[in-house]
Amino acid sequence: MKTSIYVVALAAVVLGACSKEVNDGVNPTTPARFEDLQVDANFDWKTTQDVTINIEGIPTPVPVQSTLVITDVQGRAIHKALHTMSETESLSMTLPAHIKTLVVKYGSNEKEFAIENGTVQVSFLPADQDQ
Amino acid sequence: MKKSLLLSAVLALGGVAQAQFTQTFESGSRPVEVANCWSFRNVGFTNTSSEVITGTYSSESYGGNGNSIFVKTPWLIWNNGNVTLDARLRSLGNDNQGVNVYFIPFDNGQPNGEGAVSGLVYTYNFGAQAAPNVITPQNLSFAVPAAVKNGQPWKMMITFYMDNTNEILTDNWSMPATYYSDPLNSCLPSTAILDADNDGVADNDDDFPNDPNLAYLTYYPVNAAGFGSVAYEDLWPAKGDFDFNDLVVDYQLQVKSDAQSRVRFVEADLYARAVGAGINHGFGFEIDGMSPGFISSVTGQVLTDGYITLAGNGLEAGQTNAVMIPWDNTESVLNRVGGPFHNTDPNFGTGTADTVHIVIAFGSPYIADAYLYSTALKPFLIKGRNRMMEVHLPDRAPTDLGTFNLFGTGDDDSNPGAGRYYKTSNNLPWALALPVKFDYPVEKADMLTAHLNFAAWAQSGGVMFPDWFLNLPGYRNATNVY
Repeated sequence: MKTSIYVVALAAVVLGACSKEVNDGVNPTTPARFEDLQVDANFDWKTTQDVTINIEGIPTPVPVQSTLVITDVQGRAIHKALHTMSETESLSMTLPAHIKTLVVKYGSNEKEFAIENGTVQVSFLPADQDQ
Repeated sequence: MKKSLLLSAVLALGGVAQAQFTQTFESGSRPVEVANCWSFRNVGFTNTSSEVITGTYSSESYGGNGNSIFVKTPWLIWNNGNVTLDARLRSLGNDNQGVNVYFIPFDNGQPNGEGAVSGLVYTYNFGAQAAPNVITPQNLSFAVPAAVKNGQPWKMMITFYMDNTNEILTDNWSMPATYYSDPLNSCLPSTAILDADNDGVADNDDDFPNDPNLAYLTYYPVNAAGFGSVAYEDLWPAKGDFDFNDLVVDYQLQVKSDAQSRVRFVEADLYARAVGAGINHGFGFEIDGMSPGFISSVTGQVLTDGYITLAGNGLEAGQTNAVMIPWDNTESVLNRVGGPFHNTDPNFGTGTADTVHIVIAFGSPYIADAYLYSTALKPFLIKGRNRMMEVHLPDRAPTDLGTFNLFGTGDDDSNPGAGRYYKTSNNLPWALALPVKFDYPVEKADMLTAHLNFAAWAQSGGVMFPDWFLNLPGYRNATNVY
């Protein structure tokens, strides 16, 4: 029985060593104080993001124009402007960094678009399907 | 003011009636045509050279065997004359292949506006033709029925019938009609647009329907009826306690622009919500890269101490960029309730602050609102009301009146030549700007003990927890948040 105890003890030591956290130096631990933060020199501390919104123009047989409204998902207006339906247009704006989705309304059209890598691709072309 | 009634069709046509409406399928895109209010069922576009009648594309119908196959035009106002189009079979087949033409009136009581389909107006049977005529494009022509020329919107519907494996190809539709659909109103017929101030923006969309110089009202930060905050540590160039409540200023910009999206006015509401400091400061902001010449006037500033010099338009004098000083003495805009600090120690009552309402009027040439969103708005603290002593957000340069003499002293590790400002040697800031109203730490509470994901956000370069300031489960220690 003495041998069994030694085996169990040895296993506990080995298993304990395997479960010990490894500080790989890539993900620093969270400090207790602000002044001990390890922050990259290039970090800009911004809580906002610069977003480019690319709006795809759709050719029309006659000029068509109306107000295009961009909001967050709570409906808070970010941008309003007259937009000609056939114009391809890019807009730049600064948004809270945590916003991932915008809502674009153009006439009776309204769709959500994701912000991906600081860019939003807006198109109101319908799906190619039979009516 | 006399209301202006604009027929959207006339507006859409630029004021010139269109006598002939055509469809040549050269967009090559069914979605584009559907966006312009055409309808297709079992009809697509082909660019196969052996099938195209003219140009690059023609329409092709498919899926016989009793399937519904049609094309419907948008709503049109029809005139005298003939409808013409080219049509052919793709290949020879039986005698029962052709097209039928109907018209559909507008019925406001129907969800899609389509009333009862008319009786057959025109029919053409390819089967009666001898080969190879059936595969040679035939020019079909028929008169617009009298009932359709009543000044009301009608759609034309062409249906196709053919062998299960065959196709009917068409091109070069020409109709004596005027486009009368509104692609931005569910493709219903165009309606009159009310535009009281004639600025080109419909009253329904116009935030200022009776002012021709204004059309739109938007807010910055994105927080209608809400505010953003800037928060400072005021001991620069020395480090402080990092509770970021030495001065907390809430702000909201209301941007008023015209129909061309040019900014005419910005109205800024600002107030000092917290002062966790023993030093009395001033507060200003610069619009980086904007010449003072773009601004015709600034009003509403609270200046009591005499150390700010204004130019004729209300901006601060001696500045290359537009600089405004909402207040030069924070105490002059506070309503304290006692205690050594203002709204940072929960053991004392909550005081208020006056809302300083700044009105910035822009002059010609007007800037696009996109410039305001993307430009650097640079709020800064004027330390101890010493005009040279500015404390800015990280990596934001001082204004022309801010000193460079303290860079590199104390805990400051700025390097102006490298564009590095107001950071410590381990890259920590003396100020933060938030797009929401900041729930700052209580007096002397380290930021990391209040906002529990702040460290992960900062140390990940902003990748983790970009929403660290929100009040979500597990995001904060409420005891240390004021």
